[in-house]
Amino acid sequence: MSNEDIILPSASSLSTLSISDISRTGFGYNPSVGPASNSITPETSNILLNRKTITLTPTSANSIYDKNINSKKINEISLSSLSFLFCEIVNWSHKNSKGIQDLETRLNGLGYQIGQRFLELNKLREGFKTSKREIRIIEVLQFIHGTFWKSIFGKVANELEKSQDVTNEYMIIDNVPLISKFISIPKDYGNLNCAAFMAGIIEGALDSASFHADVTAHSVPLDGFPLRTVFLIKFDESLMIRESLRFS
Amino acid sequence: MKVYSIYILNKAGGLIYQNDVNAGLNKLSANDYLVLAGTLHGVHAISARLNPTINGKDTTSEANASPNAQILTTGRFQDSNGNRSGLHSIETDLFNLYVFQSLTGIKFIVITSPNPVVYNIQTVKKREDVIASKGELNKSYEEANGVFKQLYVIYSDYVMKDPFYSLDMPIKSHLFDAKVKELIS
Amino acid sequence: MNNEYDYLFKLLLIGDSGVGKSCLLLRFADDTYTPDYISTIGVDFKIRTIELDHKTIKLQIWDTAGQERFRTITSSYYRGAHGIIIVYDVTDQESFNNVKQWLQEIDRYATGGVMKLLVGNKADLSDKKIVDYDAAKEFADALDIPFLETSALSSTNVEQAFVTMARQIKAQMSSNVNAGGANNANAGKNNVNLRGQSLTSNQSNSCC
Repeated sequence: MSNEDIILPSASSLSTLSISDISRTGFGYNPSVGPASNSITPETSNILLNRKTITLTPTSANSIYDKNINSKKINEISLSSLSFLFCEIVNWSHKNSKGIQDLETRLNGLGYQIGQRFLELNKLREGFKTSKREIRIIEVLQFIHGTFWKSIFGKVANELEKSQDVTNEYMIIDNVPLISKFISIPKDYGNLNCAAFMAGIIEGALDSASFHADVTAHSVPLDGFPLRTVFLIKFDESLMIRESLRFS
Repeated sequence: MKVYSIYILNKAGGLIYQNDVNAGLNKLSANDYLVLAGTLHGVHAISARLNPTINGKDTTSEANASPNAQILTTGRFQDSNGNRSGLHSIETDLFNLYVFQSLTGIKFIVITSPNPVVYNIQTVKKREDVIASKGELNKSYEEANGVFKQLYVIYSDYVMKDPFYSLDMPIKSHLFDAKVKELIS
Repeated sequence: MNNEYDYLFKLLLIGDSGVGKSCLLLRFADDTYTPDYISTIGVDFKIRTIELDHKTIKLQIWDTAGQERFRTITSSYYRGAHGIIIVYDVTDQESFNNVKQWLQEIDRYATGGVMKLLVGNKADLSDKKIVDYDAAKEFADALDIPFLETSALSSTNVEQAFVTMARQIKAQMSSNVNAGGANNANAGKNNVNLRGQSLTSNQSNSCC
């Protein structure tokens, strides 16, 4: 392998070389030259390799990947990493989509799979003795709005509402949806809401719990909450019949 | 210190954000702002080259040769007296202009009200008065630095994490606008 | 707020002195701005606003006049350029020969994948013409660079060249900004009924 083939490890591993101050080190950016040279000479690559600074896979036993799945401890991940990942998810979906409607459908589809899986995980973590299956619409909605929301987004959703006019419609409202916290929708994207991904998560969870529903995300900004999003949950008609047969 | 205007320049010297947060400056046309930004970009680059020579040796050329190799071999960068960060501030009687450049070459420029009148010979009674008023220069620089840090955080959050933003292009995020407004007020 | 333009492209004009870079630019840029003091720092700007696919694009053209004096900061002018236009004089063989060196300069300082364009200027001086069109065309084709001859008199070619360049840059840069446009906004989403009453125990009054 020639020297040109060696790819410089990511900045994060270079940072272990205690490069903290740009003006002292010259790493990074120089206004008159541009980014400091990243080219690797045989000499520097030797140093890099000998210092064993290149860690591509997490090996520490404390890493999030090595934890017991049943762990009650809250696993926190970086919001920045999540945001950047979601940023790429949106871009990638956007590239493949035919339009805004299609983009939302795609995001919804990706979220759906997470919802299905996360419901399972959530119930597992509740413990075999304490976990129960919600069988009423209100119960399942309260579960989604409360416990489920808290475990996936770190907070309880802001509101749970029932439609005043349509019997099979309910709404969960989040003032600052975690996933789209940093996203500004340009004007020419109409009423696109990237929280469609979250709507997909709800839909996946509800479907897995045998409450078939369509969930869509709608932006309804309020003063001070420009990102306020209403997740409209439209349950299947058959479900309403089931509900009335069971509990009337 | 009152912030009049905030500009953001991409690494190519293009103006990607311009916000007159407080009234106080003359309005220019969009093209004039672009020219202003490009000029500052050039001045910034030239000023980074204004290095004192050490024992008659040019300190820039050798330092620029292979900075990374040097760090890796010696563990630190021998930049004896380099002025690598270019232009920091321009202070005039009518406004102050501060420049902050990120590691990736994004420049944040803040134009503020001028320093408070440093001192008037009649009012200065003691030596301490002079020293105290001289401190104003540093103080406003520190203050501007505080604005940059927060601005940089907002930029990283609301611009870099927005999937609808294309790199180096004008910033149109309304969330970013709102946060900048929040920061200044 | 700067909502006046959607895109900002940086174009760079290089070539030997005296080939007519500034003339060419003056032709192209309608809304010019040329205060003299700017050339003292080695660069002059022209800005031209164009419309493409309902998007406002500002082409900021950096004219590196007198840059021999400011060679130390050349790289900061090349950096981040989206397109580079290399100009030579059709009546001056030397300026054409130097194109190779300018191309090397681009390779050294500019971002990879930058758009290039070769322009032979002063094409109206046909009696003094030394650089043959075919030779230049062959040279440009070999390097896969678009080529055209212009003159300060016939500006139509120039216009096209700049606009084509802008179009290419836009396409290259933002394949991800394709789906925009109000026409494919999902109309069905507009008329949903979001009136509801709260079921959250601590809040009894409805909102929306």
